[in-house]
Amino acid sequence: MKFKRQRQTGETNGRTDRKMQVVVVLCYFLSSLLAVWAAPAADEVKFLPGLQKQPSFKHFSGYLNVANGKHLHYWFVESQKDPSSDPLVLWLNGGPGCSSLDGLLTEHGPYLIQDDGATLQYNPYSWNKIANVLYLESPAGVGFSYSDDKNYVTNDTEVSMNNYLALKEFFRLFPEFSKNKLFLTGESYGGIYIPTLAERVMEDSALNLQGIAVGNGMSSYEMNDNSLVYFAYYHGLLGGNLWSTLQAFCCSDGKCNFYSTKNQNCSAAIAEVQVIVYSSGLNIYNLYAPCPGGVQRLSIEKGQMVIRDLGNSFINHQSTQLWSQKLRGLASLHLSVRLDPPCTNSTPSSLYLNNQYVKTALHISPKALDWAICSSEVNLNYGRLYMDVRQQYLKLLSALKYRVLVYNGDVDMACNFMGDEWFVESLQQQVEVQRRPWIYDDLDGRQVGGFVKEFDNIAFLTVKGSGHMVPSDKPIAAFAMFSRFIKRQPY
Amino acid sequence: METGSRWLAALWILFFAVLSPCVGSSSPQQIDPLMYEEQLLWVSGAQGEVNTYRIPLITFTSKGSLLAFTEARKGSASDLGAKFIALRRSTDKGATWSPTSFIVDDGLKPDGLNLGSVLVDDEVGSVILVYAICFHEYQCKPSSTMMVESLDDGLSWSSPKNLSVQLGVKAFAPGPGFGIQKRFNPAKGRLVVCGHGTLAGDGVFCILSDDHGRTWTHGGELKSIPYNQQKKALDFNPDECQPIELTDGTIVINVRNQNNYHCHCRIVVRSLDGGLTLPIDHLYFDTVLVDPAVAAGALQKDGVLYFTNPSNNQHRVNLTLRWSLSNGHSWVKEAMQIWAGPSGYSCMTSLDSGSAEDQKFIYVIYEKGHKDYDETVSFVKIHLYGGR
Repeated sequence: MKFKRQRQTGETNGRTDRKMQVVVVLCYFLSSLLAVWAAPAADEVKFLPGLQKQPSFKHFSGYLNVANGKHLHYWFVESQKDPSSDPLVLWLNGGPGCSSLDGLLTEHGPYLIQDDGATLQYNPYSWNKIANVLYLESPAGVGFSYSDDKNYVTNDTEVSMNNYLALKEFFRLFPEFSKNKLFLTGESYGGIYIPTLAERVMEDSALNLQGIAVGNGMSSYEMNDNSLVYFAYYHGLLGGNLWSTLQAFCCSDGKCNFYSTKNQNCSAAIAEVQVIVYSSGLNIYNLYAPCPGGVQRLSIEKGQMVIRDLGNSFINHQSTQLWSQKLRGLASLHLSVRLDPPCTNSTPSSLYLNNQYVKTALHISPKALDWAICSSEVNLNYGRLYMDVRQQYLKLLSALKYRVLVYNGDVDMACNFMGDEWFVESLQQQVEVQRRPWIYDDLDGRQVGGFVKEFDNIAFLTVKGSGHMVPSDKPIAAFAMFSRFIKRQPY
Repeated sequence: METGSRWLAALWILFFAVLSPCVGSSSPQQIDPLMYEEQLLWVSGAQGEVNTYRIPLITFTSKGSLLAFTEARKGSASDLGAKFIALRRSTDKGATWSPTSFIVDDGLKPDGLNLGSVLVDDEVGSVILVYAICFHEYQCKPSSTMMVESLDDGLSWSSPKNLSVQLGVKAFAPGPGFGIQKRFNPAKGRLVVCGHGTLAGDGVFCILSDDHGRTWTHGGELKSIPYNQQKKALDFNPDECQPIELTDGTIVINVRNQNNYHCHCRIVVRSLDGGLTLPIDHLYFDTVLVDPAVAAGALQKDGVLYFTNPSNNQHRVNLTLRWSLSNGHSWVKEAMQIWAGPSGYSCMTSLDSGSAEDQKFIYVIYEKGHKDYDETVSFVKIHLYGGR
């Protein structure tokens, strides 16, 4: 009705209409102009403390607002090469409940935190040398991300939805990147985050998804547990007696079930394995590295309860379930609980990020909690809904167009290479190129980076001598791998 | 005097060579080739994200497995750049193939490896692959002739051995195609690999080994004119080549005529002394084998010569199989078209087991495409007797 009347009065108000048209066109023109340069100026980091010289690329820090009053903190570093044409790479660290700023400040970001907790040094092997990288602190409750209602109980489905919404929000704020190739990458529990997010992203034709990469990822709890026992034995950690016991009580017909055994003797032997792997002083993230801070799965430091266990291993064992129950109980009693990944010194990052000048520079909301590498609240209350991500990978692969990379530092015990290798094999994709060494050039000349086996659209790749945090342990190899991955070059 | 008697000997050999098919067990008169099976072994841009697969080689091993090799050009279609050597293996005469293996990886070299010549030493059961690195001396020096060897039927390969220690550093690009082991005297058992030199110092050169590939020496050469100088159009510039052995022990080398000297057709040169010399006296231009300047396939099986190339005097299209019952003096008029469209390098093999089944087939590998010939590498099984 309204429309009709306007049409009727149109002739008499012709001039006003034309004026309106001009205004509309102008508005449209202006808004399209804005759309081209729409990076949120308020979020731009103008001066980052700790750097001797401010970077030549642009970087932004702020919040992506998603459903139900949740505000996810992001830190976005534009490419040092050609931001307009280089791919956009999302990076998620794992946990569940750990911050992706650990990836930025200690793995492959453009500036890495130094031991003093105040200085940043430029990283010559930064992934933003060739890509725009978006570091997202997810879910709410992690790092500087928060929720208005302070409810930090969440689960895999909610997380993948909010990550998707955050990505959409990012492109609303930065529409100039919506045409760029998009890669989703992550590490550790990112093995669940990334494929479950990709499953949503691939349905959205507005997002230019090209592929995913997962480093030392959790792909299957069962394979992760079962392989770890082999890994530990053949890396000389268990000894013959324990191995014989494991073989006798956990295995039959050459198949071992260390993951969900009902046999009490097997469970007891697995408990011994767990003590050796997690509590004997070894660094589970890198078998051949020392363990900063020493190992204790649970301790009280300066009145604070410190948990050093992310709860990802042997979750089916009664002893593990009792343990996590106990942790939750203790955590609810303690005023202050901290969750640190074992053998990880997060003090420099914490000192830096909780510095008031840094927080101001990064536009951190006063509503955000103090920054910690992992959130015990998120981790202890997290709903693990996926025991493996087989369906997600198969769905991605059936689209026949995404490049998928599963890479593993081969001396990590948190998500050991063999479990992920088994997982990739279990997808039963056609082998395209048989397992082979892949090589790269480092300062000492040509080196074997590790091994790679390529299937149709998915590759499994090891990084030789690297632990869980591949870009920290083997930055040159990691950069070569990343570069070949996003450029669709042979490994 | 000496040349005269040589000529006489050569004539006698030719006479018997012409005669020999008639006394052979097969009946070449009935040759009526039929494309029996075709399979794409490589697709550029597919396996391992390799930009381009080019320069296919194929051979049977002593145990009857088929090995197909190709250059896997990592980043571009150019002859330069970094590459893998890709291999696929079939133990059922080409019905099914293993996934690709990259048996050599030259890393990030700006002027990496180039194939190459594969040869099978039936006396010891080895497979030898000879290839070049830094052939174009682009951002590198010197060029080297390299060799890898398999002693287990192509399953595993030695690390590359640099033959330049024995041969010097003159740029040498083997093949592309297969090398031969002499089955007949003179020099029975000798390994003969022929190839070509650099663009200025071009020509056909052969390297020889009389100890199963342990040591190599320079053999015959057919130099370009003007040698070691920039060529002009229509200069004499023999280039990529494929040697075969006739049943009389003669080596016949079918050569790419790079600058179209004399004709847009193939150069043929012969060695009567097991590859030691390639006398100009025995050189001729085969005007029937019209050619756009390309690496072609040649094969001798049961006294019949086979030849594949893109049969066109300008363009790499129309891959065609020809056969000759007279050791190449003439070619049977009925040729068989394998692919009408863009097609480039080709290589042939067959299994001489003596069994009736193996007499029927030859196997061709070639560069095949719809728009460009370097889109895929295709394998074809050809029934020589019309499927009967």
